[in-house]
Amino acid sequence: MAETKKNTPYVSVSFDLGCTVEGARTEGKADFYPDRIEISTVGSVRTVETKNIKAYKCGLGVGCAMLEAECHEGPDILICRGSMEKNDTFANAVKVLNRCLEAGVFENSEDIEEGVLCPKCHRPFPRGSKSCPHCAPKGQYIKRLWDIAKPYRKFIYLSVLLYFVIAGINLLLPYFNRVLVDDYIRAEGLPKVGQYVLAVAMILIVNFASRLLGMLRTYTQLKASNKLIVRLRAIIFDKIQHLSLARVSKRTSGELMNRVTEDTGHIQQFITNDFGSLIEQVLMLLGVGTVLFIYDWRLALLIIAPMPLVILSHRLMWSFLRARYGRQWHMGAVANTILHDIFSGIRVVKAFGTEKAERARYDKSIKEECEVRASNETYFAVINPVTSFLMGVGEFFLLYFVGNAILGGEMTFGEMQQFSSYVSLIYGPLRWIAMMPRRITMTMTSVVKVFDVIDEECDVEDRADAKAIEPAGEIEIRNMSFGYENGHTVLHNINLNIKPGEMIGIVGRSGVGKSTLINLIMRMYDPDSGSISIGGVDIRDITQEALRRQMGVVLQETMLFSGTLYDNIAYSKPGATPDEVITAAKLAGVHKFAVKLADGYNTVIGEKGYTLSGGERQRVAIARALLHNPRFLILDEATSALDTETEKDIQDALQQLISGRTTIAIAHRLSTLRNATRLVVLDHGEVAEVGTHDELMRKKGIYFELVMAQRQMSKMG
Amino acid sequence: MSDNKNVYTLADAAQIVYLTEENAKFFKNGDFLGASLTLPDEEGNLKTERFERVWLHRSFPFNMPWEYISVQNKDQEELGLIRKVSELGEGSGAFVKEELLRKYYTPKIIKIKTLKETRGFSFWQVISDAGELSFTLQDTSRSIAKISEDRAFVFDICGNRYEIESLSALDKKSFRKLELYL
Repeated sequence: MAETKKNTPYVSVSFDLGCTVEGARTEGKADFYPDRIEISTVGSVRTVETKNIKAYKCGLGVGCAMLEAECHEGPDILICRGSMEKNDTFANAVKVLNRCLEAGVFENSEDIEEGVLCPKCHRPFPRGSKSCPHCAPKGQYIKRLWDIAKPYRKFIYLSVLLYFVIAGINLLLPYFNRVLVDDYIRAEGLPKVGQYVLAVAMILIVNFASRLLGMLRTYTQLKASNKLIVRLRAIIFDKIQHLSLARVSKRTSGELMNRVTEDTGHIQQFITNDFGSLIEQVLMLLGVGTVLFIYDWRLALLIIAPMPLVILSHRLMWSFLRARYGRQWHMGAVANTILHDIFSGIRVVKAFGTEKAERARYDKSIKEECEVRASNETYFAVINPVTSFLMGVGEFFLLYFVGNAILGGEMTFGEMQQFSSYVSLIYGPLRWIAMMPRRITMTMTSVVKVFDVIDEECDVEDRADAKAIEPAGEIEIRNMSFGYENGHTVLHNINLNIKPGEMIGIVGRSGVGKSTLINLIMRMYDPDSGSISIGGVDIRDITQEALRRQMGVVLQETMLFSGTLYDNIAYSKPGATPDEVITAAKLAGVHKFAVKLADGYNTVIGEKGYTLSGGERQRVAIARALLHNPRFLILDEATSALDTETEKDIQDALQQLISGRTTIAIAHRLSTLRNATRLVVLDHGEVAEVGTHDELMRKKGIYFELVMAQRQMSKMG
Repeated sequence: MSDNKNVYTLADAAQIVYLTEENAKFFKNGDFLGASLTLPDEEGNLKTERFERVWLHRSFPFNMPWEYISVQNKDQEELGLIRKVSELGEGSGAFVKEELLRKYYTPKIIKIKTLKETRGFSFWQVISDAGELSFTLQDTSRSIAKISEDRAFVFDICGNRYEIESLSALDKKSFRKLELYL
C-alpha cells in the first residue's frame, strides 16, 4: 500500500459526544485510514488498528447515535458517539465503510453525507424536509402559493379592483349625509324637494351599488379561493401518493388528512375572508385618514394620537390571550381524544368493566379544560373592557372639540355627523388590523405545513429514462442489502433467483425481513446496495406503474373501500365487465355468498355497509387479484387470520390464482406453503436455506426446527 | 413455581430470570459491557456462561430508569432482567449504571433562555447539564411528555430527548415559557 494512501483518511466522520458518560457536547473527528482509525477530540487522539475489524455498525443508543466496529476476535469497539443530529451521518458512514471493507479498496476518499443542517442557522431540518422552519422566509411560501394561483389570478385582480371601487364608494356616503343634513334638513327656509329627493336617491344608489359590487367581489374571491384550494389539495394528494411507503408511514393518516383538508381549509379561509378584508380595511384606513386630514388636520391628529396605544394594547392583549387559548384548545383536543378512544374501544371497556375508571379519566380531562377555559374567560372579561375603552379614547377627544366647534359656530351639525362617521370608520379597521398578525401567523403555519408535505423528497422515484415495459421472466436478486434507517441492515447480501411460474415460500421468524423482501421486489423501497431485476431488467429501469401492473397482492389485512361489493372487486381493473368480475368472484369463492345477499353484488360494504367476515374479505381480495391477472403474485400472510377450515377453502381459491403465475408467499403456518416449488428460509437478515420441503426436512436445519415446533403446537392444540 | 404446587403463576409461565449479585457479574470488556451469567438451560439446569457483550434496555426509561433493566444478547433476546440495579452489588452495579447513562443520553434542562414558536415549530435555547443547547420541536405540545405532575421529557425533531427533572424547580421565567405547552 502506498505511503500516501496510508496518510490520507479515506473516510472522515465528525461527532459531538464523548464515548464516556459525561454529558457535555464535545466536538471530535474520526479519520479512517486503511490500517487504523484516528479518533481525535480536544486534547486527545486515540488510535485503533483496523486489521481485526470485521464490520462497522450503528449502535443502539437512545437520544444518541453510536458508530461501532465488530471485530473478528475480541470485544466490539466504540468508535464515536454523537447526538441524534449525527444519526444520518453515522448511518451513511457505516454504509461507505462496509462497502470499502467488503471490497478491500480504501483508495477513494468519499464524502460522508452529513445529516442536513440549515447553512444559515445550523439547526437541523425536520426529517424528510429540505427547508429550515426557522429561516424559511415567509415570502418564499407566499410566492409559491402565488405561482400555484397563476391560472386564477384574473379573479384575484378583479376582486382587488372591486375592493378599491367599493372603498371609494363607501367614502362618499358620509359626504352625502352631510349634504342632506346641512343643505336640506337644517337649511334655512324650505329646501327644494327635487334636490332633497336627489340627495336621498344618491345615498340609496351609492348603498345599492356598494352592495351589488360587494356581491360580485365575493363571487370572484370565492371562485379564486375555491379553484386554488382544489389545485393545492390535488398537488398534496398527488405528492402523498407518490411518496414511498417508508415516507408515508412516518406520518399518521390523521396528520396527512389534516394537511389535505384542515390546513388547506385555513388557507382558503384566509383568501376568502381575511385577505379581502385586509385590503378593504387598509384602504378604508388610508382613505378615511386622508379625508380627515384634508378636512381638519388638527382634529385628524387628535383622533390618530391614541392609535399607537390602541394597536399596542390590542396586540398585547392578544399575544397574552393567544397562548392561553392555545392551551385551552390543546386541552380540548386531549379530552376529545380520550372520548374517541373510549367510544371506539367500548367493547373492551365493557368487557373489563372499566367504565368508572374511564369516566374518571374523562372527567379529569374536561375538568382541566374547564379550569383553563374559566381562567381564560376571566382574563378576557378583565382585559377586553380596558382595551375597548382605550380604543374609544379618541372619540372622547372628538366629542370635546367638535362640541366646542359647534358651540363656537365653526362647524355645522352635518359636518359633525360626517366627521363622526369617518371616525367610526377609522376605528373599525384599526381594531381589525391589530388582529391581523395573528391571522397571518395561523395561515402561515398552515402554508408551511402544506409545503412541508409538497417538498418532501421522493426516495423511490422513476428514473428519467425508466421504461413502461411489462416486466416478465425470471426475478433475479443480486447481492442485495437493505435497512430502513440508522444503518441497521434488515436484509444482508440476499441472492435469489425465482423462475417464471415458480411458487416460492418465504419462511422465517417474525421480524426477520420477509415482508421487507417482498416490498423490495414490489419496489416500495429501493435496496441500499445490490439489485433486483426481472427478465434481466433492473426494476429501477421500469416505471413503477408498469411494474405494479404486473404484480397482484393479497395481504393479511384486506382493505375494503366504501362502495359496493362489485366496486371492491373491480377496483383492480377499472372498466372490467360484469362477466369478468363474476368469473373472478366465482373462482375466489365470492360468488356463492354474493348471490345470497339481498342486493347481490350491489351490496354496500366497507365502513358503513354490510360487514363481511374475515374469510369473505380474503375472498374479495383474491377475486381482486384474479381480476387484475398479474404475472407475479404476492401473498403476504393471506390466510393467517383465518380459522383452519376457512383457510382450507381459501387455499383452494388461491390455487386458482397461483396456477401459471410466479408466486411469492409468506406464511407463518408452514402447512399453507405445502405446494411451494421452493422454500427460502431467512435468518438474521440472510438467506439461510433454500430447497423443497423434503430437502429442507432432510437437512434438519432451521426449517426443520420450525416445522417440528409447529407440529408440536398443533398436537398440543 | 409458586408456593401452591398446583397453581402456576403468570411469572412461572413467563419464566423471567431475575439477575442479582448471586447469578450475574457484569464487567467492562473493552469499550462495552460484558457479563458472566448463571442461567437455566432448556432442562432447567443452571449453567454459567460468559457473554463478551451484553446490551441493556430500560423497561421503564421515564419513571424507573434504574429498575427492570432487560439484559439482552446480540440478537436482542433477553437473557435476564435486573429488578434493581442496586441488587447487583457495587462493582457490577457501577458498570451497568455507566452503560445505561451512555446509552440513554438525556441532558437535563436547567433553564429555558428562549422559546419562540412560529409556523408550527418552536425554537428552544436552554441551559442544560450538558451546556447550552438549541433545538427545534415540531408540534410543541405533543413533543413534551409530562411523566408526572413535576417531571417532563422533551423530544426534538432529530430524536434527541431532554429531561426537566422538576418543573417546580425551574425559575419563574422558564416555567412561564413552558407552562402553556404542558
